Amino acid sequence: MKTSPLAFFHSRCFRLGSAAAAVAVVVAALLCAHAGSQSGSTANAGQPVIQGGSRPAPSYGTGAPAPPQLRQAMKNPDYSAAGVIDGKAGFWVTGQGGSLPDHALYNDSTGALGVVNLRGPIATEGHPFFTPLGKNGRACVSCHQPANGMSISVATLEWRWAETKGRDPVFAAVDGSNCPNLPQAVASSHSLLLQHGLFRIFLPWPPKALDGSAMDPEFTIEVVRDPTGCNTSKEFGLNSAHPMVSVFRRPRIVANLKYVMAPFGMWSPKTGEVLPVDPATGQRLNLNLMTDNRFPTLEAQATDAALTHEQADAKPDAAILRRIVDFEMQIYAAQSLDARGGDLTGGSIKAGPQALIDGRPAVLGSHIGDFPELDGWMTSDAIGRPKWDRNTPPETFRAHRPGEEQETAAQKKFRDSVARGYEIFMQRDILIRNVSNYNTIGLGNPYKQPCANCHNAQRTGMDSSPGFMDLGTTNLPTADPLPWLPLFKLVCKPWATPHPFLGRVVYTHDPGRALITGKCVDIGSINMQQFRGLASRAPYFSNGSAKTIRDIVVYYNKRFTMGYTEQDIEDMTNFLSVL
Amino acid sequence: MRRIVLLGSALLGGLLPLHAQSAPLAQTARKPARPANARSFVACPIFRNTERQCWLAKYKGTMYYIDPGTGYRPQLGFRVLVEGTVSPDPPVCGGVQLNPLHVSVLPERAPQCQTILPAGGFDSPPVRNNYGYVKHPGDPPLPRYTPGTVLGPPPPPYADTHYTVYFTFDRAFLPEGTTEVIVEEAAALIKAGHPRHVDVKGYSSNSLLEDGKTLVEKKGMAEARARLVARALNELGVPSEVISIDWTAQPLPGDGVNDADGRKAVIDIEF
Repeated sequence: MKTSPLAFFHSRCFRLGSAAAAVAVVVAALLCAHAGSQSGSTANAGQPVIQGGSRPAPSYGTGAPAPPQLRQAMKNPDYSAAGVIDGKAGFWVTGQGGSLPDHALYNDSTGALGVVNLRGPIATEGHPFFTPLGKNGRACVSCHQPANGMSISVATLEWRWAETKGRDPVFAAVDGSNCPNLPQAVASSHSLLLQHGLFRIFLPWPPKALDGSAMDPEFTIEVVRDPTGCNTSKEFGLNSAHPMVSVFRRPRIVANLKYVMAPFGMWSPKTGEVLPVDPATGQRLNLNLMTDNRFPTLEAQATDAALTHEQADAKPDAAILRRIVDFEMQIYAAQSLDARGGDLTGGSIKAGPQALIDGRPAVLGSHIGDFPELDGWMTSDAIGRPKWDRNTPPETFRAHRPGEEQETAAQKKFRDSVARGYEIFMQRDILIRNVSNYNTIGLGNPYKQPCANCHNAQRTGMDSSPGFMDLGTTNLPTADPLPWLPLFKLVCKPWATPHPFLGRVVYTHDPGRALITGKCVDIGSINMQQFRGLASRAPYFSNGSAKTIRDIVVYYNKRFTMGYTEQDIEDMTNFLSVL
Repeated sequence: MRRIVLLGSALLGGLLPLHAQSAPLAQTARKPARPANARSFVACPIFRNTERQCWLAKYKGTMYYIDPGTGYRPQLGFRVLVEGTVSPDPPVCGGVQLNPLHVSVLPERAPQCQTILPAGGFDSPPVRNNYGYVKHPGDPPLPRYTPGTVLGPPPPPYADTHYTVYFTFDRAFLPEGTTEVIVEEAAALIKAGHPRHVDVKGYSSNSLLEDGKTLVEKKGMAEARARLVARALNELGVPSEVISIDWTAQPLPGDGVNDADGRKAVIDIEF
């Protein structure tokens, strides 16, 4: 039986009583309620109040082209009536007030993202995550939008610039522009944010330890190319009164944080040392927070964000930090609907935010499955017996999914593709090679393992150990040219151990963790990000160099000479898009 | 405050640590001649791309199998120091086996070491990674290291004991899931038994190669090893006040047979 996406939503209304997963219930309830109202407004009761602009026409920006089914659906007013909020209409304006619902669906490039507040609707009036703490009008939510998986996409930024003529606080000069000394009213001064989703991160040089003490870095740094002018600026650059290195990075997803923050063991495999303890909680820190883990706790990160990104005059007090962290720890986001594959939260798979709510953190998924919620789509019919998959006994999978006979041809094709992509991710060995802080920690170089060996944390695909490693996305020659970014020349001092695979002289767009530790081995090392909600928050990698999910796969295919076929790339892309 | 028993030359005006002074005696007790089956050489590692992967090294026309399994594996781009004894067991992956086998990745970059061989019909034995992950069906089950498992206190009675943590050449690094377990066990015993003394002593050792050259460990390795282990004990909950640190000022000179045994830190626990 073939069904349209909308008909699919309506069909869910009749299954409420038997829905097992709570998120499926609430999502279905939302869909049913709105289907019943037949209203096209996004400002109905129970919906976020949208301010700061009229509802924009659907746009997919630089992300993957929307599949035809979704494009069709978006032209149908009943689609929005069905409860899926247009991603940009769901833009949360700083200080707008109102309630962030306990659950919402936001449309994105391949379907819809589900966002769940585990503690129920959040009253945002005066809430420090949604209220400016400093003087530039920004709040945490400015860059961590629910509709964008608690990050922010280039498509949203482009739209917001047009809507507000650049006056939204997200474009604040301090880091929402290429450099604060540029004329702020013109889009070209914000090109890195508008075209690549990159915020300026300015870090002291030489690096300072967490206690503020000086550090003698193992390398010198020289600006080779400075398209923004900020690194050579007398006011903001390396030779300013307060020397700073400006790098440009994507904001990370502020959701599913129980997985990001959970300590995994007592040791850092990267350094061979015992992980530090958070004196406030007595728990071990996993060093997986932020691109470079310059702050190890959510409280410290929020404090820094208030002082820098929001330009607060003083540190937030403990009560404010507690409210921010409490909010961050209870919000979950994951893809919940795919325009081709259908509902991801019920039926044969139980994905979406509920899988993350139900899951246990700090589970090593590399040998038992990173995303067990997708197991229901795995069939021997879809996967076959690829020659590289000698590890999986034929009897592992059933031949067909329950209810497969009711899938449309497009659904079956997509679900089979996701199954193959997941199997490649978990099982297909590649020669992982020349990755500092991976191949150098005792595993050997190369190390023959599948993707899941690095992306080993169940439910997020992060690295369960501190995830910083040099995958080559910022260091030449493996990084893309990226002429819009600064280029630095780092030279390791004679007494220092050089970068293990690039030697004493390294050219990089972003030294990554080395700007925190001062160590050559850490040049270009970037903490892994979670795989969740990817379809809602393009572009990807810390420097936004992958414009689409497919670009992520293509980068790795080239980086590690994986030999993927076009089908493999499509399968991996589809797999990543449903997480 | 950590009670550091500084016996190194910096504090004592150039005098050797006490046990360093006795080191020559230990050397004379070593075997004077290298057995014919002892191996100690430096070579580029060779990666054979078998299904499970395997590591080899060629020296004087002979291929040796040098995958240590756990611990610190070879890296293309770096030479390896191979120390061991030729085993009568059949070759593995096209390489003569060594037992014992000690492999150290030398710190200097060697970009010329980049050889990857095709599988060539060879298979390789099951190799556990540091989590004990059994990768292929039919592989024997191996004990799984469970990260985050906090060892419970061992039951009394408590007796004097020592733990030895071995390191590879020129490195003070505890590879994941292997030697770190030893430190955890020591910490659990110390916290449970409240010993009178905990001494951590670091050692280093050169390597006497088959070609007659001596590979010298970096200065300060013994101290770095002692400090690394002492810091780990402290961060695992052992009060710094009960830990004494000591190290040899000079590396053992190397005899071509037992050299790998001299790269260690020893945790002496006295009740």
